[in-house]
Amino acid sequence: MFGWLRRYLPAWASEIVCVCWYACLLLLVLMFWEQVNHGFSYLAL
Amino acid sequence: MIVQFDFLLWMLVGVIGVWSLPLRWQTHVMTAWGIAFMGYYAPYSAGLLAILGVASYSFAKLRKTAWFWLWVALLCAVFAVYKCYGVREFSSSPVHAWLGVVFYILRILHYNIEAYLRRLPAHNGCDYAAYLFFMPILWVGPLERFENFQQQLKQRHFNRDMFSRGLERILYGYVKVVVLANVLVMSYFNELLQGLDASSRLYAYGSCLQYGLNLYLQFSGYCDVAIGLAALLGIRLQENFSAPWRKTNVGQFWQSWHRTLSQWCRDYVFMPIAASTRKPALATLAAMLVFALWHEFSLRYVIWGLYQGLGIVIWQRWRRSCEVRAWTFTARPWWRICAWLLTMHFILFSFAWTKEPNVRAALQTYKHLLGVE
Repeated sequence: MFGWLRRYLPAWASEIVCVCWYACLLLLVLMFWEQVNHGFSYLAL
Repeated sequence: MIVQFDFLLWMLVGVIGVWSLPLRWQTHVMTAWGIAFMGYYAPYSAGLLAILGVASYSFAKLRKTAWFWLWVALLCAVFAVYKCYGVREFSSSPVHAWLGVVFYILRILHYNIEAYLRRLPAHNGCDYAAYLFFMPILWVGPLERFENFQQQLKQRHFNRDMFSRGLERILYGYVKVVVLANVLVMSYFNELLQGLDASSRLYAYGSCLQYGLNLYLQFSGYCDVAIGLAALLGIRLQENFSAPWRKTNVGQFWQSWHRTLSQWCRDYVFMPIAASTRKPALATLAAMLVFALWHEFSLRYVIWGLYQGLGIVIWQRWRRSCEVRAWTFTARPWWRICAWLLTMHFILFSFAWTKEPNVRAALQTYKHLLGVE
Protein backbone atom coordinates (compact mmCIF):
# COMPACT_ATOMS: atom_id res chain seq x y z
CA MET A 1 0.00 0.00 0.00
CA PHE A 2 2.88 2.35 0.77
CA GLY A 3 4.97 1.64 -2.33
CA TRP A 4 4.42 5.22 -3.53
CA LEU A 5 6.18 6.53 -0.39
CA ARG A 6 9.49 5.12 -1.61
CA ARG A 7 9.55 7.80 -4.30
CA TYR A 8 9.81 10.45 -1.61
CA LEU A 9 11.48 8.69 1.34
CA PRO A 10 14.34 6.23 1.79
CA ALA A 11 13.25 2.58 2.05
CA TRP A 12 13.88 2.37 5.82
CA ALA A 13 11.76 5.50 6.45
CA SER A 14 8.83 4.25 4.39
CA GLU A 15 9.03 0.93 6.27
CA ILE A 16 8.74 2.83 9.57
CA VAL A 17 5.74 4.84 8.29
CA CYS A 18 4.12 1.60 7.15
CA VAL A 19 4.63 -0.16 10.51
CA CYS A 20 3.36 2.90 12.42
CA TRP A 21 0.24 3.07 10.23
CA TYR A 22 -0.69 -0.57 10.83
CA ALA A 23 0.16 -0.30 14.54
CA CYS A 24 -2.15 2.73 14.89
CA LEU A 25 -5.00 0.96 13.13
CA LEU A 26 -4.53 -2.15 15.26
CA LEU A 27 -4.46 -0.04 18.40
CA LEU A 28 -7.68 1.73 17.39
CA VAL A 29 -9.40 -1.60 16.78
CA LEU A 30 -8.23 -3.01 20.13
CA MET A 31 -9.21 0.18 21.96
CA PHE A 32 -12.81 -0.01 20.79
CA TRP A 33 -13.14 -3.79 20.59
CA GLU A 34 -15.14 -4.04 23.82
CA GLN A 35 -17.49 -1.23 22.80
CA VAL A 36 -18.95 -3.14 19.86
CA ASN A 37 -22.52 -3.89 20.81
CA HIS A 38 -24.49 -3.45 17.62
CA GLY A 39 -25.53 -6.54 15.70
CA PHE A 40 -24.98 -6.70 11.99
CA SER A 41 -28.31 -7.02 10.18
CA TYR A 42 -27.00 -9.30 7.40
CA LEU A 43 -26.19 -12.01 9.97
CA ALA A 44 -29.88 -12.22 10.87
CA LEU A 45 -31.02 -12.63 7.26
CA MET B 1 -19.74 -12.22 15.36
CA ILE B 2 -16.31 -11.42 13.93
CA VAL B 3 -15.75 -9.09 16.88
CA GLN B 4 -15.20 -11.97 19.31
CA PHE B 5 -11.86 -13.34 20.40
CA ASP B 6 -12.95 -16.92 19.74
CA PHE B 7 -13.52 -15.97 16.09
CA LEU B 8 -9.91 -14.77 15.88
CA LEU B 9 -8.87 -18.10 17.39
CA TRP B 10 -10.85 -19.96 14.70
CA MET B 11 -9.04 -17.94 12.02
CA LEU B 12 -5.62 -18.51 13.57
CA VAL B 13 -6.07 -22.26 14.09
CA GLY B 14 -7.52 -22.70 10.58
CA VAL B 15 -4.79 -20.82 8.73
CA ILE B 16 -1.92 -22.45 10.68
CA GLY B 17 -3.59 -25.87 10.42
CA VAL B 18 -4.06 -25.65 6.65
CA TRP B 19 -0.55 -24.44 5.78
CA SER B 20 1.22 -26.82 8.17
CA LEU B 21 -0.05 -29.85 6.23
CA PRO B 22 0.99 -31.20 2.81
CA LEU B 23 -0.86 -29.61 -0.15
CA ARG B 24 -2.88 -32.77 -0.94
CA TRP B 25 -4.52 -32.68 2.51
CA GLN B 26 -5.21 -28.96 2.62
CA THR B 27 -8.53 -28.94 0.74
CA HIS B 28 -9.94 -31.61 3.07
CA VAL B 29 -8.70 -29.76 6.13
CA MET B 30 -10.33 -26.54 4.90
CA THR B 31 -13.64 -28.40 4.44
CA ALA B 32 -13.38 -29.98 7.90
CA TRP B 33 -12.55 -26.58 9.36
CA GLY B 34 -15.66 -25.06 7.73
CA ILE B 35 -17.86 -27.91 9.00
CA ALA B 36 -16.45 -27.57 12.53
CA PHE B 37 -16.90 -23.78 12.48
CA MET B 38 -20.48 -24.01 11.23
CA GLY B 39 -21.27 -26.85 13.65
CA TYR B 40 -19.96 -24.76 16.54
CA TYR B 41 -21.71 -21.46 15.74
CA ALA B 42 -24.79 -22.66 13.85
CA PRO B 43 -25.44 -26.40 14.25
CA TYR B 44 -28.91 -26.37 12.63
CA SER B 45 -27.62 -24.40 9.69
CA ALA B 46 -24.66 -26.79 9.29
CA GLY B 47 -27.03 -29.79 9.28
CA LEU B 48 -29.31 -28.17 6.70
CA LEU B 49 -26.33 -27.23 4.53
CA ALA B 50 -25.01 -30.81 4.66
CA ILE B 51 -28.41 -32.26 3.65
CA LEU B 52 -28.96 -29.72 0.86
CA GLY B 53 -25.36 -30.15 -0.33
CA VAL B 54 -25.65 -33.94 -0.69
CA ALA B 55 -29.07 -33.61 -2.37
CA SER B 56 -27.90 -30.89 -4.76
CA TYR B 57 -24.83 -32.90 -5.80
CA SER B 58 -27.07 -35.92 -6.48
CA PHE B 59 -29.60 -33.83 -8.46
CA ALA B 60 -26.77 -32.23 -10.46
CA LYS B 61 -25.66 -35.72 -11.52
CA LEU B 62 -29.17 -36.62 -12.77
CA ARG B 63 -29.33 -33.82 -15.39
CA LYS B 64 -33.01 -34.44 -16.10
CA THR B 65 -35.27 -31.46 -16.73
CA ALA B 66 -38.09 -32.63 -14.46
CA TRP B 67 -35.72 -33.40 -11.56
CA PHE B 68 -33.96 -30.09 -12.07
CA TRP B 69 -37.17 -28.07 -11.80
CA LEU B 70 -38.36 -30.15 -8.87
CA TRP B 71 -35.09 -29.43 -7.05
CA VAL B 72 -35.21 -25.70 -7.85
CA ALA B 73 -38.80 -25.56 -6.57
CA LEU B 74 -37.77 -27.43 -3.42
CA LEU B 75 -34.87 -25.04 -2.75
CA CYS B 76 -37.15 -22.03 -3.30
CA ALA B 77 -39.65 -23.59 -0.88
CA VAL B 78 -36.92 -24.11 1.77
CA PHE B 79 -35.87 -20.50 1.27
CA ALA B 80 -39.47 -19.25 1.57
CA VAL B 81 -40.16 -21.34 4.68
CA TYR B 82 -36.99 -20.04 6.29
CA LYS B 83 -37.87 -16.45 5.39
CA CYS B 84 -41.43 -16.80 6.71
CA TYR B 85 -40.71 -18.73 9.91
CA GLY B 86 -36.99 -19.31 10.44
CA VAL B 87 -35.84 -15.71 10.76
CA ARG B 88 -38.52 -14.86 13.31
CA GLU B 89 -37.96 -18.04 15.32
CA PHE B 90 -34.22 -18.28 15.39
CA SER B 91 -32.49 -14.99 14.60
CA SER B 92 -32.42 -14.01 18.28
CA SER B 93 -30.60 -17.22 19.20
CA PRO B 94 -27.16 -16.60 20.71
CA VAL B 95 -25.58 -19.29 18.54
CA HIS B 96 -26.86 -17.76 15.26
CA ALA B 97 -28.72 -21.04 14.70
CA TRP B 98 -29.43 -20.43 11.00
CA LEU B 99 -26.35 -18.43 10.09
CA GLY B 100 -25.71 -18.11 6.36
CA VAL B 101 -28.84 -19.95 5.08
CA VAL B 102 -29.80 -17.23 2.60
CA PHE B 103 -26.26 -17.16 1.23
CA TYR B 104 -25.70 -20.87 0.75
CA ILE B 105 -29.14 -21.52 -0.79
CA LEU B 106 -28.23 -19.06 -3.57
CA ARG B 107 -24.83 -20.74 -4.01
CA ILE B 108 -26.52 -24.16 -4.26
CA LEU B 109 -29.06 -22.79 -6.77
CA HIS B 110 -26.18 -21.34 -8.82
CA TYR B 111 -24.38 -24.70 -8.76
CA ASN B 112 -27.45 -26.67 -9.89
CA ILE B 113 -28.40 -24.20 -12.63
CA GLU B 114 -24.85 -24.20 -14.02
CA ALA B 115 -24.68 -28.01 -13.76
CA TYR B 116 -28.01 -28.32 -15.60
CA LEU B 117 -26.73 -26.01 -18.36
CA ARG B 118 -23.52 -28.11 -18.47
CA ARG B 119 -21.36 -25.07 -17.84
CA LEU B 120 -19.43 -26.41 -14.84
CA PRO B 121 -15.84 -27.63 -15.14
CA ALA B 122 -15.06 -31.27 -14.25
CA HIS B 123 -15.07 -31.71 -10.47
CA ASN B 124 -15.79 -34.23 -7.72
CA GLY B 125 -17.75 -34.26 -4.48
CA CYS B 126 -14.76 -33.08 -2.42
CA ASP B 127 -14.45 -29.94 -4.58
CA TYR B 128 -18.14 -29.22 -4.08
CA ALA B 129 -17.93 -29.85 -0.32
CA ALA B 130 -14.93 -27.49 -0.12
CA TYR B 131 -16.99 -24.86 -1.98
CA LEU B 132 -20.05 -25.24 0.25
CA PHE B 133 -18.14 -25.31 3.54
CA PHE B 134 -15.44 -22.77 2.72
CA MET B 135 -15.30 -21.02 6.08
CA PRO B 136 -14.61 -17.37 5.01
CA ILE B 137 -17.77 -17.17 2.88
CA LEU B 138 -20.11 -19.03 5.22
CA TRP B 139 -21.51 -16.13 7.21
CA VAL B 140 -22.08 -13.16 4.84
CA GLY B 141 -20.69 -14.17 1.48
CA PRO B 142 -19.50 -12.99 -1.04
CA LEU B 143 -21.66 -15.28 -3.19
CA GLU B 144 -18.67 -16.86 -4.87
CA ARG B 145 -19.21 -18.70 -8.16
CA PHE B 146 -18.27 -22.39 -8.16
CA GLU B 147 -16.09 -22.28 -11.30
CA ASN B 148 -14.05 -19.37 -9.93
CA PHE B 149 -13.65 -21.08 -6.56
CA GLN B 150 -12.58 -24.36 -8.11
CA GLN B 151 -10.02 -22.66 -10.32
CA GLN B 152 -8.61 -20.85 -7.29
CA LEU B 153 -8.56 -24.12 -5.32
CA LYS B 154 -6.51 -25.80 -8.04
CA GLN B 155 -4.04 -22.94 -8.44
CA ARG B 156 -3.56 -22.09 -4.77
CA HIS B 157 -0.10 -22.11 -3.24
CA PHE B 158 1.58 -20.16 -0.47
CA ASN B 159 2.29 -16.63 -1.71
CA ARG B 160 3.91 -14.18 0.70
CA ASP B 161 2.58 -11.13 -1.09
CA MET B 162 -0.99 -12.45 -1.11
CA PHE B 163 -0.70 -13.45 2.55
CA SER B 164 0.45 -9.95 3.48
CA ARG B 165 -2.39 -8.36 1.48
CA GLY B 166 -4.82 -10.70 3.23
CA LEU B 167 -3.64 -9.54 6.67
CA GLU B 168 -3.93 -5.92 5.56
CA ARG B 169 -7.45 -6.53 4.24
CA ILE B 170 -8.54 -8.15 7.50
CA LEU B 171 -7.20 -5.18 9.46
CA TYR B 172 -9.07 -2.73 7.22
CA GLY B 173 -12.22 -4.81 7.64
CA TYR B 174 -11.94 -4.62 11.42
CA VAL B 175 -11.27 -0.86 11.28
CA LYS B 176 -14.47 -0.42 9.24
CA VAL B 177 -16.60 -2.58 11.54
CA VAL B 178 -15.19 -1.63 14.94
CA VAL B 179 -13.94 1.94 14.60
CA LEU B 180 -15.87 3.52 11.74
CA ALA B 181 -19.25 1.76 11.95
CA ASN B 182 -19.66 1.02 15.64
CA VAL B 183 -17.81 3.93 17.20
CA LEU B 184 -18.05 6.83 14.74
CA VAL B 185 -21.41 6.13 13.10
CA MET B 186 -23.40 4.25 15.73
CA SER B 187 -22.06 6.02 18.82
CA TYR B 188 -20.76 9.54 18.05
CA PHE B 189 -23.07 10.24 15.11
CA ASN B 190 -25.94 8.85 17.16
CA GLU B 191 -25.21 11.32 19.96
CA LEU B 192 -25.44 14.16 17.43
CA LEU B 193 -28.77 12.84 16.19
CA GLN B 194 -30.18 12.56 19.72
CA GLY B 195 -29.73 16.30 20.11
CA LEU B 196 -32.22 16.94 17.28
CA ASP B 197 -36.00 17.02 17.25
CA ALA B 198 -37.12 13.52 16.17
CA SER B 199 -39.81 14.94 13.87
CA SER B 200 -37.50 17.38 12.11
CA ARG B 201 -36.31 17.11 8.51
CA LEU B 202 -32.68 17.13 9.63
CA TYR B 203 -33.23 14.18 11.98
CA ALA B 204 -34.95 12.12 9.25
CA TYR B 205 -32.12 12.93 6.81
CA GLY B 206 -29.46 12.18 9.43
CA SER B 207 -31.03 8.87 10.44
CA CYS B 208 -31.16 7.71 6.77
CA LEU B 209 -27.51 8.75 6.40
CA GLN B 210 -26.55 6.95 9.60
CA TYR B 211 -28.32 3.75 8.51
CA GLY B 212 -26.68 3.84 5.05
CA LEU B 213 -23.18 4.49 6.40
CA ASN B 214 -23.50 1.82 9.06
CA LEU B 215 -24.80 -0.74 6.54
CA TYR B 216 -22.04 -0.01 4.06
CA LEU B 217 -19.22 0.00 6.63
CA GLN B 218 -20.43 -3.13 8.44
CA PHE B 219 -21.16 -5.15 5.32
CA SER B 220 -18.06 -4.12 3.38
CA GLY B 221 -16.00 -4.60 6.57
CA TYR B 222 -17.31 -8.16 7.01
CA CYS B 223 -16.58 -8.83 3.33
CA ASP B 224 -13.05 -7.42 3.75
CA VAL B 225 -12.44 -9.88 6.60
CA ALA B 226 -13.83 -12.75 4.49
CA ILE B 227 -11.77 -11.80 1.41
CA GLY B 228 -8.66 -11.26 3.56
CA LEU B 229 -9.08 -14.60 5.33
CA ALA B 230 -9.52 -16.38 1.99
CA ALA B 231 -6.34 -14.66 0.75
CA LEU B 232 -4.48 -16.05 3.79
CA LEU B 233 -5.50 -19.48 2.49
CA GLY B 234 -4.34 -18.64 -1.04
CA ILE B 235 -7.82 -18.08 -2.53
CA ARG B 236 -8.80 -14.85 -4.27
CA LEU B 237 -12.53 -14.23 -3.83
CA GLN B 238 -14.71 -11.94 -5.93
CA GLU B 239 -15.09 -8.39 -4.66
CA ASN B 240 -18.50 -7.49 -3.23
CA PHE B 241 -18.12 -3.70 -3.28
CA SER B 242 -16.30 -1.36 -5.65
CA ALA B 243 -16.68 2.17 -4.29
CA PRO B 244 -20.50 2.40 -4.62
CA TRP B 245 -20.53 5.85 -3.02
CA ARG B 246 -18.66 7.32 -5.99
CA LYS B 247 -21.15 6.24 -8.65
CA THR B 248 -23.09 8.76 -10.68
CA ASN B 249 -26.10 6.65 -11.65
CA VAL B 250 -28.27 4.06 -9.99
CA GLY B 251 -27.36 1.33 -12.53
CA GLN B 252 -23.67 1.64 -11.72
CA PHE B 253 -24.48 1.82 -8.03
CA TRP B 254 -26.15 -1.60 -8.08
CA GLN B 255 -23.25 -3.03 -10.06
CA SER B 256 -20.91 -1.99 -7.26
CA TRP B 257 -22.97 -2.65 -4.11
CA HIS B 258 -23.32 -6.31 -3.07
CA ARG B 259 -21.99 -7.12 -6.53
CA THR B 260 -22.14 -10.88 -6.18
CA LEU B 261 -25.87 -10.82 -5.37
CA SER B 262 -26.48 -8.32 -8.20
CA GLN B 263 -24.64 -10.66 -10.58
CA TRP B 264 -26.68 -13.63 -9.31
CA CYS B 265 -29.94 -11.72 -9.96
CA ARG B 266 -28.65 -10.60 -13.38
CA ASP B 267 -27.70 -14.15 -14.45
CA TYR B 268 -30.65 -16.08 -13.06
CA VAL B 269 -33.53 -13.57 -13.05
CA PHE B 270 -32.82 -10.66 -15.41
CA MET B 271 -31.26 -12.60 -18.33
CA PRO B 272 -33.90 -15.39 -18.61
CA ILE B 273 -36.81 -12.92 -18.33
CA ALA B 274 -35.23 -10.41 -20.74
CA ALA B 275 -34.44 -13.20 -23.23
CA SER B 276 -37.92 -14.73 -23.13
CA THR B 277 -40.04 -11.55 -23.02
CA ARG B 278 -37.76 -9.06 -24.85
CA LYS B 279 -38.79 -6.53 -22.19
CA PRO B 280 -35.68 -5.38 -20.31
CA ALA B 281 -37.69 -3.02 -18.10
CA LEU B 282 -39.85 -5.90 -16.86
CA ALA B 283 -36.74 -8.03 -16.33
CA THR B 284 -35.10 -5.22 -14.34
CA LEU B 285 -38.14 -4.85 -12.10
CA ALA B 286 -38.28 -8.63 -11.55
CA ALA B 287 -34.56 -8.80 -10.75
CA MET B 288 -34.77 -5.98 -8.22
CA LEU B 289 -37.88 -7.55 -6.69
CA VAL B 290 -36.00 -10.83 -6.18
CA PHE B 291 -33.05 -8.82 -4.85
CA ALA B 292 -35.39 -7.19 -2.33
CA LEU B 293 -37.29 -10.35 -1.35
CA TRP B 294 -33.98 -12.11 -0.72
CA HIS B 295 -33.53 -9.63 2.13
CA GLU B 296 -36.99 -10.00 3.62
CA PHE B 297 -40.48 -11.18 2.68
CA SER B 298 -42.41 -8.01 3.50
CA LEU B 299 -44.37 -5.21 1.88
CA ARG B 300 -41.72 -2.61 2.71
CA TYR B 301 -39.06 -4.63 0.86
CA VAL B 302 -41.41 -5.16 -2.12
CA ILE B 303 -41.84 -1.37 -2.30
CA TRP B 304 -38.07 -0.90 -1.87
CA GLY B 305 -37.33 -3.35 -4.71
CA LEU B 306 -39.82 -1.67 -7.07
CA TYR B 307 -38.42 1.76 -6.09
CA GLN B 308 -34.89 0.63 -7.05
CA GLY B 309 -36.12 -1.17 -10.18
CA LEU B 310 -38.03 1.91 -11.35
CA GLY B 311 -34.96 4.04 -10.66
CA ILE B 312 -32.84 1.81 -12.90
CA VAL B 313 -35.50 1.73 -15.66
CA ILE B 314 -35.81 5.54 -15.63
CA TRP B 315 -32.02 5.87 -15.74
CA GLN B 316 -31.82 3.43 -18.70
CA ARG B 317 -34.46 5.44 -20.61
CA TRP B 318 -32.61 8.66 -19.84
CA ARG B 319 -29.30 7.21 -21.06
CA ARG B 320 -30.94 6.07 -24.30
CA SER B 321 -32.42 9.56 -24.84
CA CYS B 322 -28.98 11.09 -24.32
CA GLU B 323 -27.48 8.71 -26.90
CA VAL B 324 -30.25 9.31 -29.44
CA ARG B 325 -30.08 13.08 -29.10
CA ALA B 326 -26.26 13.03 -28.92
CA TRP B 327 -26.25 15.17 -25.78
CA THR B 328 -22.69 15.83 -24.66
CA PHE B 329 -23.30 17.86 -21.52
CA THR B 330 -23.55 14.61 -19.49
CA ALA B 331 -19.75 14.32 -19.68
CA ARG B 332 -19.21 17.76 -18.15
CA PRO B 333 -17.95 17.98 -14.53
CA TRP B 334 -20.94 20.07 -13.30
CA TRP B 335 -23.34 17.46 -14.67
CA ARG B 336 -21.40 14.62 -13.07
CA ILE B 337 -21.59 16.36 -9.68
CA CYS B 338 -25.36 16.83 -10.10
CA ALA B 339 -25.74 13.17 -11.19
CA TRP B 340 -23.72 12.01 -8.17
CA LEU B 341 -25.84 14.09 -5.77
CA LEU B 342 -29.05 12.80 -7.36
CA THR B 343 -27.90 9.15 -7.24
CA MET B 344 -26.74 9.36 -3.63
CA HIS B 345 -30.00 10.96 -2.51
CA PHE B 346 -32.06 8.46 -4.46
CA ILE B 347 -30.25 5.66 -2.57
CA LEU B 348 -30.24 7.54 0.73
CA PHE B 349 -33.99 8.12 0.69
CA SER B 350 -34.60 4.46 -0.20
CA PHE B 351 -33.15 3.54 3.20
CA ALA B 352 -36.32 4.95 4.77
CA TRP B 353 -38.04 1.71 3.63
CA THR B 354 -35.42 -0.66 4.99
CA LYS B 355 -34.44 1.05 8.22
CA GLU B 356 -37.98 1.26 9.55
CA PRO B 357 -39.83 -1.82 10.79
CA ASN B 358 -42.96 -1.27 8.64
CA VAL B 359 -44.50 0.75 5.81
CA ARG B 360 -46.30 3.12 8.17
CA ALA B 361 -43.07 4.14 9.92
CA ALA B 362 -41.31 4.50 6.55
CA LEU B 363 -44.06 6.83 5.30
CA GLN B 364 -43.69 8.83 8.51
CA THR B 365 -39.96 9.23 7.75
CA TYR B 366 -40.82 10.46 4.23
CA LYS B 367 -43.29 12.95 5.75
CA HIS B 368 -40.51 14.25 8.00
CA LEU B 369 -38.09 14.42 5.07
CA LEU B 370 -40.59 16.46 3.06
CA GLY B 371 -41.55 18.57 6.07
CA VAL B 372 -45.21 17.47 5.87
CA GLU B 373 -47.13 17.22 9.16
